[in-house]
Amino acid sequence: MAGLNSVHRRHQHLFRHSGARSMTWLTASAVAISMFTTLAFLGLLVGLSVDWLRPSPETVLTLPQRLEQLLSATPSAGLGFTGLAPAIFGTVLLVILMTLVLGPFAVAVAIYLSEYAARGWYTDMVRIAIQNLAGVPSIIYGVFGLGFFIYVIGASVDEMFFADSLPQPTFGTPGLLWAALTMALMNLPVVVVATLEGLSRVPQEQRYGSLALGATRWETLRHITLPAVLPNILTGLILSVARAAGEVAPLMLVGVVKYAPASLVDGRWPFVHFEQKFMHLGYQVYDVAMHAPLDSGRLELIAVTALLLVIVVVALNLSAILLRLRLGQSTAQSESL
Amino acid sequence: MDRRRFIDRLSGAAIKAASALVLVAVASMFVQIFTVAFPLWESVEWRATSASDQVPAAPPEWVGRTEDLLVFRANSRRRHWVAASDQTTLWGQLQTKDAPIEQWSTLDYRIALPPEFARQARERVVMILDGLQLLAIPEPSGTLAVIDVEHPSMISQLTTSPWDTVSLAADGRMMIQSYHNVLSRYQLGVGHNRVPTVIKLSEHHLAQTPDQILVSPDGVLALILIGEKVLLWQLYSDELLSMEALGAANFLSWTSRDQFKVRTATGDEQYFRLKGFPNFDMQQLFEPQWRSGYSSAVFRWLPIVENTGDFPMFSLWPLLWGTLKAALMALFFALPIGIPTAIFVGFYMSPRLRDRIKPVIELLAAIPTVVIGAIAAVAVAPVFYQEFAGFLGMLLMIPAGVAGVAVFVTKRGDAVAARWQLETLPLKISPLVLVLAVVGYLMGKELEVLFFTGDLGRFLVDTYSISMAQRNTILLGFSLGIALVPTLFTISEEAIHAVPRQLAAGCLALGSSHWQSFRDVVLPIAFPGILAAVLVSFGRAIGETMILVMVSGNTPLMDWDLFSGIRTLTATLALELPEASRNGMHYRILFMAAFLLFAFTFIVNTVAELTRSRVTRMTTAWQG
Repeated sequence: MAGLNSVHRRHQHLFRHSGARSMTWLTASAVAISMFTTLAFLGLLVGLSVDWLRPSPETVLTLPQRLEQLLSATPSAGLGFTGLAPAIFGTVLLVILMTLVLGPFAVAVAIYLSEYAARGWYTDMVRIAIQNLAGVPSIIYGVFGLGFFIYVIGASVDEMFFADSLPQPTFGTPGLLWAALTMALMNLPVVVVATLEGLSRVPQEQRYGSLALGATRWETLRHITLPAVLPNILTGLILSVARAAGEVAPLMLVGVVKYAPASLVDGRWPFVHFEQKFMHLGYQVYDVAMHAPLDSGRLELIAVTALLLVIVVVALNLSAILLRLRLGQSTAQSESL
Repeated sequence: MDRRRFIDRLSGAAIKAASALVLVAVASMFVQIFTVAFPLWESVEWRATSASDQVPAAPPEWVGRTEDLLVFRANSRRRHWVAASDQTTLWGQLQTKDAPIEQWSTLDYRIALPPEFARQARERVVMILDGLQLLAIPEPSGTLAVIDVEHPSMISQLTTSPWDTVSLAADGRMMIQSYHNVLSRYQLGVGHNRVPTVIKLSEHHLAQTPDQILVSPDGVLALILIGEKVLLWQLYSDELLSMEALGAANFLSWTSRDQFKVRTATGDEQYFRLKGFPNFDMQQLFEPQWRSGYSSAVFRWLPIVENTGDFPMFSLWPLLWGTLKAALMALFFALPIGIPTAIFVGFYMSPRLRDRIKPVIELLAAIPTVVIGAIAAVAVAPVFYQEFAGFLGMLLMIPAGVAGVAVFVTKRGDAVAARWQLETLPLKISPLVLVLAVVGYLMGKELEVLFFTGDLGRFLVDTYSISMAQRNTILLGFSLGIALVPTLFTISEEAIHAVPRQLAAGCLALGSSHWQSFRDVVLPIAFPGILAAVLVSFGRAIGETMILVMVSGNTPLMDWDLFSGIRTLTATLALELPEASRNGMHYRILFMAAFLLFAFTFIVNTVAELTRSRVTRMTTAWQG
């Protein structure tokens, strides 16, 4: 398109038609307006956060003290908010658990579609299913997680293994495990698409070579194909982690709480308590914004929390983009489905 | 060797199983969400319970009855009324809470009933309709006397048909009566000038004359005793259901809204409980309903009620309306920004710069919506009222200013245009946008002082009685619009960029302008893709939750007012599902709403996908 510009410049005199220049101007203005809006929004966020960090005359706390308060305040401290540390921890645990479920599952689906199955009605159906999963509103995953994971699977698990503590539910109630499964299902299309894209770029000859040398299909996958698509898988997983960190709506139904008194990880067996409710950074933003008392510092507090969330999410996305650039692939998620 | 083959088989099986699991997951999403909602439609069943099994129910409206004394209670949000009546007198105590004071005040009164009603002491009901306290007394001749307690001398005589037996629902909305073998159903209300009205809804012809008819406390069901048989009348769907195996009934009474007592001729008492959702009917979701406190049938989403006398209302229209209103408002803000941006980046910009700018804009799509919602709800909403004039000024000034400069550039800007460098044009315009924003803001403020007495919000209230909610549709549309722009941009830009360069270049070579080549060549090819972008954004706007929870105000209103709040399907799901008791009617109706949402976005996305794949086929055909 660089050519078009030089054409334009050299043949200015030809462009006499009314509307031609004004449309260029108008579309360029739209770009400027979007840039302006974005910058205004981010500026507001950063400005408010700086306000919060700056020591004010009425608080005698220094910056490190304020940061400590931000991270580890308990509800009993009477500050009207809970420290972010447990929320960050809960988010990290959620995404780890989600990745453990999502990674193998999504990669297996992508491998099936690209390596194992010939294209037919069955693979078409799987493709359509994944495509549609990508467009389902996130809250629907929450509804499904509540109705199926918690009230069907969780309730059966309770009946089988925790019957003695019924009617007090153990797994039949919102918790970390179900939230992770819900998030995994929600992010399935992201990882499948990323992996499929990588698989389509692995030269067919490499697979043939490996197979010709007597390797089984699994060995070819294990030693030839999968190492080649590892960066793609990683890209997909990073994008899903970013989404799981920022998405709040489904979590509201499947296990996030504003304050979880019990720790998710402790010395008691089995050490990680999957059935516990947990705290989440994104939900913390929502909770502080909607429910914290209306005092002077709230707005700035929200801004700090939100900025932290934005930084995490943007950093994750940025690393995914850089990974793609290093792979020399298009920066956009292309449609390999 | 065997071990290798075994591992190969095993991994293959696992991979196949994973793909099958995807199908299972998607199918079970559809099936599961639907199966939770489905029991709502199942036919009503009944089973015997013992007296001790009876769930203690909210007390019915009349709380006591002796030989000649009736005690009533009627509650609404702002009125509590206790009344007692014998043949000649009505005593009562009314507690009201009215707008300016918001405190309960008590009024005791005693009214002598007109002598002509003394005969009819058995059936009567007190009710609060649209703030009126009414005593309704039906007469066998077919006259329904309604006494306005605040003006006891004013008695409305409404005409129904003559009856042998009659039954009034506790809230007074529903009245059924029978005359010989004809069963009819009436609805009471308050019409214009606060005059009570009665409307006949339907009529049934039975085989013989019923011995007893009895409306349930919530006015949704009725029991009809004919000989020794009992019929269940579902008043909303107007279906008559014959109930078997109740034994030889002699006298019926309701003990709560879904339980009733049967007394046989020998004096035995048996308790029954209705299973399923007898109170549910599709009409409830999609048709206006009559309820206490309203002067006409209304659409209301009131799933949780405060007073024992009220019953929940589940009209989906306010939620669907809110969802649609929010989505359209968001598109109103997002379209004029998103699509021209896509046109500039996809058509005017050089590919090199485009590749650098695109990821940045896509990064914006990753900003969690909860952040946008939080900032809009906490930083913007509280000052929206004061700053509305300035905001409006900005909103008008930026497009007007940009368009004005566009006209200037078109008419006489040859010298200006010659120095344009398309690449950096947006950067050069940015300061102009900033200036326009500031000027617009100040001008809005200035005009507010000049024409609107310095307070536009107050002016609107005083002059047009438009009151501005803090979390209103305009703010909501704006913040949701911001969230939509990246989606809108990405998909439409891809569609524009996919159009082969040669086509546009050929056009330019033939002497057309950039815009002409875009409008006549690129746009027709990319149009389905842009349409798909709009559809996908629309689907996203419908499915978005956090911004709506935080900025919509969550008030299930149904109006065209842009300054009022709304409540959407998604926000309702997020807020109410954790609270709804499992497998209750509210829970199942929410699942049905989720199913509707699921199906709707499914359709929108499929249509978008089909149009998009058409573009891909077209453009690849061109390139090939």
